[in-house]
Parts: sequence; structure tokens; C-alpha cells
Amino acid sequence: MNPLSDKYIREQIASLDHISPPTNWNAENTWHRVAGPKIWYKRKVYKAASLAVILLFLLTFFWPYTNEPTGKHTGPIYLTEIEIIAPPSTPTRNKLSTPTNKEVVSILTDTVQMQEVNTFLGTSKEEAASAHELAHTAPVKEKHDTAVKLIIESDSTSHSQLAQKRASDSTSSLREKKEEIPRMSSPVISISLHADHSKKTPQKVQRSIIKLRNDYRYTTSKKVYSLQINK
Amino acid sequence: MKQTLRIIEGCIAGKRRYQRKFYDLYAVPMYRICYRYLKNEFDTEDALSTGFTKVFENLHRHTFKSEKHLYNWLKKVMINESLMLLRSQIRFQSVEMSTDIGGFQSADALQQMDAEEVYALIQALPKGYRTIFNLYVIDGYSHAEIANELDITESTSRSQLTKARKLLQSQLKTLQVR
Repeated sequence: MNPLSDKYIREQIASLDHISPPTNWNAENTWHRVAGPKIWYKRKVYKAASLAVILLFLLTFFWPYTNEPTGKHTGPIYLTEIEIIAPPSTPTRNKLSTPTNKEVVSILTDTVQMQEVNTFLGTSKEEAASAHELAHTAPVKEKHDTAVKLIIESDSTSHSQLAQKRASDSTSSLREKKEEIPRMSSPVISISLHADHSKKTPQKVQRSIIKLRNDYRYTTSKKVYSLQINK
Repeated sequence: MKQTLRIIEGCIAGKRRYQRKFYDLYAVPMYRICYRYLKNEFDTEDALSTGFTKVFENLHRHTFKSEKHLYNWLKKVMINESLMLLRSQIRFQSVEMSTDIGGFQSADALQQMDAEEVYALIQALPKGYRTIFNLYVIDGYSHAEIANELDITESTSRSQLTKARKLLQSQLKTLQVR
């Protein structure tokens, strides 16, 4: 064969290019295969979108935990313990060996119940009574001679006197006070106090209550409240 | 060419209607090209569908001055796809010549054949010979390009082409004798 034959063959084959092939080929089937990858791309997009949604969900869920090391607290604050630091001159049986020689009086209070009480603040008489009852159910480590019940009221004029009166009463008289609660129109916050000694005078306790209330109002971001008892 | 350019623009924009038009224009010749190499309907469909998919993905990277330019690019894509399928199948080996071809006027005999007969003659060649013959004689590849495409040496390409020619001449002689 020579180059002339090559040229002839090329021309002959080229002339056949636009004639339908002598096979059972169905162009429509091949077209569907060509168009198929487009659908595949759509699926790819759907998969990517689903993945993004899952990632977003996971990020939303774990985001609060990632903020903890920075010291920012995003969730609710739970009050678990209140400490009252009394001056050294306060008559007491249990002295701590701290450098300042201050006595620490523990106040145990149930945070959840505190919050429940707050939700009932000043709505109705029944609710106020319920709130007070809830305050009573707070788990207090009681001793026979030292348990003192404090009721802190938001009204500092009329209710502080009531609080003083109640603080000086014994535990048995609390049920009577419970009946008095509905008469109060202002919100009530109850805290169960457990003191280690019973020598505190009602006046001292009252001052402590006032201080406690102030600190409670202004230091809600802390978990542990340190309150100074004034003599 | 204006209409073809509009179709190409539609294809680049991802419009299915224009892609279908483009496919209808070139599916038959491209099928012919792929089938010339593969000689198998299933493989040809595979090469054709993969080839068109690649064409639609890469159309935006090319600027076509004429329809012939576009046609040659399409042809090259389809040939590449066919060769992809062929690479694992081709065994370049020598085929014994059964007849003496000395003194046979193959060119004259060839010119008495019509296009379909020539086509059938080429299709009857063994896979390795057919591939080299198609690439060199019909599609105009050089031996260097063939060596590169098929991962063989240039001398192998030359020797395979020579053997393909001789086999073709022997077949032409057989046809002439009949």
C-alpha cells in the first residue's frame, strides 16, 4: 500500500461518519447515560447540604461546652451554698482556723426550690403560700438548738420587721407564719438558714438578713455567696 | 457556525435542551469513530457516553474557530476514550501471513471497493493492528503520538503498522481472487 491508498482509505472512512452505524445502537439510551451525571451532581449537592446541616446541628449543640474554658457562663446559675462569714468577735462555739479568724456559718439551700419560689413571687395569696411552703421544704441540716429560719422580704421597711420577728421565733412557730404569708403583697424570697449557735440575738440576725438580701441581689452571678454578719 | 456557537453557549450554560441538540448533531459520527476502534457495541456506548460527559464539562475551556476545529476536538476526545478502554485489551503480536503478497496491486483492488467494504476490511484486522492503522492512516496520528497514547515504543508502532498493511493487502488479494 502506498500513501495514495492511505488517502483513499481515509476519504472512504470519513464519508461513512455521518451514516448511521450498522448496529442496534440506540442513541436515546446513550443520551440518558450522558445526562445521568447531571443527576449525580445534584445528588452530590444534596449530600453536601445534608452534611452542612448535620455539622451546624452539632456545632449548635456543643457550642456552650466550647465556651466554658473562657469563664463565660451561658447556662442557668444554680445556687448551692451560702456562707456567712461572721467577724471574730461573734460569740461562737466553732471557730475556724483561718488567718482572719472568722467564723463560717453555713447556709444550705436548695437552688431549684429557690427558683421555684421566685417564680411564685407576688402573684396571688395562694401562690405566695405555696412559695413559702416550698421554702420550708428546703433540705436544711437542722440541729435541735441551732436551727434558725430566715425569711427575707423584698420590702425593706415593713417586711424587715416581720423578718426580724420570724427569725427570732423557733421552728415550731413557722407554721403560724405560713398563714401570715398570704397577707404580703410584695415578692417573698425564703432561705433556710442553719446556724451553729443559738446565741445570736434577733437584731444580729436581722442585720444579717439585710446584708444577705443585698448580697443576694448584687452577686447573682456567683455560685457561692459570702456574707458578712454584722454585729 | 453561528448556530453551532449558540448551541455551544447553551451547553456551557448547562441548558439541557442545547446539550441534547449538540448530542444529536455529533452522536452518530462519534459513535462511528468509537466503534471503528472498539468494534463492540457496549464498549462503544461506554466510550461515547463518557466522552460526551467530558465534552460538556470542558467545552468552556476551548474557543472554536470553525466547525472543523470543534469536530476534530470532539474526535480526539472520543478516540482518547476509546483508547482508554483498549489499552488493557491490546496485545501487540505478530500475525502469520498466509499468502504471499508480492506483486499484488493492492491499490487498484482497494479503489474498486466502496466505503463500507473498506470499513469492513479494516474492522477485520486484529485489535492491535486495527488500532495502529486507525490512528496513523485514518486519524492522522504520528508514530510518536501513537507511542505516547498506547504506552509503546515508536518502533513497535511502525512495525505494527507495517504488519497491518501487509495483512490488509493479503485480505484484499483474497477478495480479488474471489
